[in-house]
Amino acid sequence: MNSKSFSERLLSSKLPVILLAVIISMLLGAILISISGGSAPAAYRQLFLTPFTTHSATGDMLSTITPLLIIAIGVSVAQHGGLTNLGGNGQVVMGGIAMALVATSPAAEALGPLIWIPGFLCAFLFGALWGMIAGAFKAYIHSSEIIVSLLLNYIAAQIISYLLRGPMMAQGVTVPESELVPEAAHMPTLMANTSANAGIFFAFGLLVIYGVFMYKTRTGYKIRTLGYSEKAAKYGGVEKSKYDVLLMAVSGGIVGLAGGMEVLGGQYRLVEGIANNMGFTGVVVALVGLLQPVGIALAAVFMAVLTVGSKYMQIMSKVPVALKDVLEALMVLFILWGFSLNLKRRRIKEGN
Amino acid sequence: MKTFRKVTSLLLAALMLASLAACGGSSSSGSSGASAPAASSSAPAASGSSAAPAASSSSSASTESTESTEPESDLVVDGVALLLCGAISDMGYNYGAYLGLEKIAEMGYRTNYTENIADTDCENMLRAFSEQDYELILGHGYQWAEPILTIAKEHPEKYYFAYAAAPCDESEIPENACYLQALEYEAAYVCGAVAAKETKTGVVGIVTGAPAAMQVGNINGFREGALSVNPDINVMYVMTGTFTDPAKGKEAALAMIEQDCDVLLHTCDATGTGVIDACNEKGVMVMGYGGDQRELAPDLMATSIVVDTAVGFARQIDRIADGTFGGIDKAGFNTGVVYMAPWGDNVSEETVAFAEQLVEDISSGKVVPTENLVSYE
Amino acid sequence: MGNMSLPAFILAVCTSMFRLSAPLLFASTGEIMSEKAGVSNIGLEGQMIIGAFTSLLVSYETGSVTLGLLAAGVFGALSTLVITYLGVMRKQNQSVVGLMFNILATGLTTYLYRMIYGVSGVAPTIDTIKNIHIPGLSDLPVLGPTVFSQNLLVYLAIALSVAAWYILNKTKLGLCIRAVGENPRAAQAAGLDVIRYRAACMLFTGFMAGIGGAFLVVAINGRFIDDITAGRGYIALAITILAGWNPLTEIAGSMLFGAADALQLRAQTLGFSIPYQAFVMLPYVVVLVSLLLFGRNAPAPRALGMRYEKEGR
Repeated sequence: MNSKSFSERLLSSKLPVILLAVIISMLLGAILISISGGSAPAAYRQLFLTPFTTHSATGDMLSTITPLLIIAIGVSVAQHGGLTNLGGNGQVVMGGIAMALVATSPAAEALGPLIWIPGFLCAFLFGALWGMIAGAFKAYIHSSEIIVSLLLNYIAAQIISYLLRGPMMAQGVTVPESELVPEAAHMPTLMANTSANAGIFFAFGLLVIYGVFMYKTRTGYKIRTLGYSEKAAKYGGVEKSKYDVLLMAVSGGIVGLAGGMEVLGGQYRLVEGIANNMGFTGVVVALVGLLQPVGIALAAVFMAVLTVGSKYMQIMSKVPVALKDVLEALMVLFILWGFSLNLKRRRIKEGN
Repeated sequence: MKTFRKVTSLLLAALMLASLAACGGSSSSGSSGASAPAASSSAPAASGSSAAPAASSSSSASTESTESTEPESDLVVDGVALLLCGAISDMGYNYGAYLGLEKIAEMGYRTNYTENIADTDCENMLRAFSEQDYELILGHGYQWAEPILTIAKEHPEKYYFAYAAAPCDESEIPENACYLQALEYEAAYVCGAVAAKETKTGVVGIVTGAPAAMQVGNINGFREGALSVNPDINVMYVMTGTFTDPAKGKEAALAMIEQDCDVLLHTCDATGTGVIDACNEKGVMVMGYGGDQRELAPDLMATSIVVDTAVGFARQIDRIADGTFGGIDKAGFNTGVVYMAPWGDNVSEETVAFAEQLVEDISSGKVVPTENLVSYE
Repeated sequence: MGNMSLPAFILAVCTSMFRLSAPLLFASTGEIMSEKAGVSNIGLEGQMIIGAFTSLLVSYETGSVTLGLLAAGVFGALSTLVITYLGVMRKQNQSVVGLMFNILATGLTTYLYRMIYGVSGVAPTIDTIKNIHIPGLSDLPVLGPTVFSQNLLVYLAIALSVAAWYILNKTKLGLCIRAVGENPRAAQAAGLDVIRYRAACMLFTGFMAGIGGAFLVVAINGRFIDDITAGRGYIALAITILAGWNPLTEIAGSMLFGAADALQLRAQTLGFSIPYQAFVMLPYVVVLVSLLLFGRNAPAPRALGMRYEKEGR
């Protein structure tokens, strides 16, 4: 199974469907926008064009792609094994905490970019720990990893709230935030006066590694079989519970890397809102991208465009904030619906 | 399958029709007192500005600006933008800022606002607005303290303002950035003193949202004010952890009332409406926050802590005009930015007189409540 | 305990516990039904907020709380058709469908509320339903004020949970539902329409969740706030699992969470110098610990959340 042509084939059959889904949601959204007194054509122009035509919007978009992509990779790893990791928000927080601890320590100033190595290592470990808890619950108590990982999000939110107002709070401020990461250790900026940074290369690099691992190695194959059918996996000698813990740990670790990246390149410090619901958006990216490397990349760009564009849509067309969520949700739901249509068509083609 | 698809889309259409009908229905249904003001403000709320309907994407929108200030600086303030991390429907903090913006719009300025901005998006949103045609950009809340420093340096031609404690020394603040620190704790101090005077059980309480600087200041101010009247008084506090969950506010208040608390102050926006509900249910004296909340508890509302954001914002426009913009603006009772809402009938005349004297004393500097925005243990 | 004696404190927590657990009771009982049929309905939160919004809209406009509650249930139920269609019939990932549904519902209700009622310092308010007084029982010394003086909806929630248990375990309908959730292929072969059972159970879940959300408006606050449900739908999901998909133990689970919540708020007034985040975290930790201790023996319905392929081997 040659992965490249597989995804090519897949995409050529999915794209028109995705386009249709987006158009339908836009039409529905246009009705809502008009009722609220806005102008739909102007709104959509801002939604889709400003991320490419305005300096700050493009920078914002590029910096949004990075964490979304990394989180989607993490989620996909677990999803291939049949596990849904909804604990992204908590894992990002944990990874961010780890990176902040390392990158704001005295060593960071001296080591500069070298601090990234221990930093990302710790971010991975912390995220992995958080994911592992959910995996362990699944493996040994047979609780849903979905629910446990969701609960862990809330707990992580309180942990960071406490840390940023106490032990990790920066000196002399009254705001819940950590010390700044020293400039020597910042992720290099790509576009002046924006948060677009070199992390995006790291994210795409991780994507390549993911693609190779998942589709070109034996372990990757084992994981994918596991997700497809537990019986088939047992046949091939794969012990499910061991993999549950491992997969959730790896998944959480990768997602934790995104948190670390946000501290190094997005915010240059740890703030309470570091996750910003990206844990959920990342799941959407993974699933809309059908867990395929090319798909995930495209989906990440799409979601980043939506996220950034809708901010501008709000500002320039005065579209009510709530509609931004409604529009994004409608698009994803219709895209999923579109996928399901394809599935049927393909099955008929294959003469089932 | 096809029929289900049809059914779902019909249902969606029906839902939308239903909401349209509801829209039409409520605005024509005469309306009771509460929905009348709501109906009139729903139009500006929808378009985001009472001055400019359906803004176009071009940056030079026509202006109806009749500035009330004489421009002496090089940049005429014509457009004002307000950035909020919460929702204007919170019936408190952000709603107050929104009202302030509306008053600015009434003065003739072009206005725009955005709400529910995520903490991590503050810088990006400031940049986005800086690229638009707004000369004065207002960030409401502690989340804006740092970001405006960064963006002020990127855009020296615009003016940035944050309703928050300054994160650095006044000397380090760029010329085009300014911080307004409304001294809410002065009002909280007065509330504490009044509570101590009016309590029959010797137990009073304050309900807050999160340990943000102003909130912490309020707890300390309330406590200090109460203790200044009665050193043996028992002051309780609860931090609900949210500004948007009235059920939690109600529970917190009920918890205190169960423990004999008979005067409560809340400083937590929508959560606080739950506090007021509990007080209504139990017949306990309550004090509000954000605006004059008497309507929510006509017989039990002693007063409210009011921060007049309109005055706060307008001050900045004036200061731009006469070149004194910038730095830290600590605005307490003496500036009119913070004041107590009119006293309720349930407060004794003696206490009202005492309270008004106290407000004057604080204004004049005779009484100085301690400013502690950091720890409330 | 502060200004109260220990027994009085415990009683206060218990009274509060009923009130705080009611929305969870409704929602998780509903969820048990759909999960027993094999549907993993993550969209509880969205169904609850639709119920909350609808109850305010209808109660305020018509003046009848009963109508508001009914409408809340009906619209909550109808809204599940989206998830049933996409997640069950179209076989998409039920977690994502549920998540996006929640986002859609929260956004839509916020938008609609703003459009209809605008923004003001005084929101449209309805009179909340009052607690009832049962002659005789309410006057009992200890149990009276706590157990026997709640509002009708609380008792309804408990009654419905018991009824759900009965239906699931003692009736043919329940047997069919469980069959559909354990082994849909076999159930299909035995002549049960799997999709229809799942859709029907989802309608029930939506109805219950709608009422659970409405409780927040009709029995506690009397008004609607954006995102008034504040994550309770997700807690209900956890309780469903904690209870082992058994409506009777689910009553205990909901009460446990309600009690933790009640305790959390009161503990702060007692002036413990523990960071307040520990208190806010407490209910979630309680659920996890309970899962750890008691969750082991609760097997999920075997086909929960899995794609159901009608054709094929």
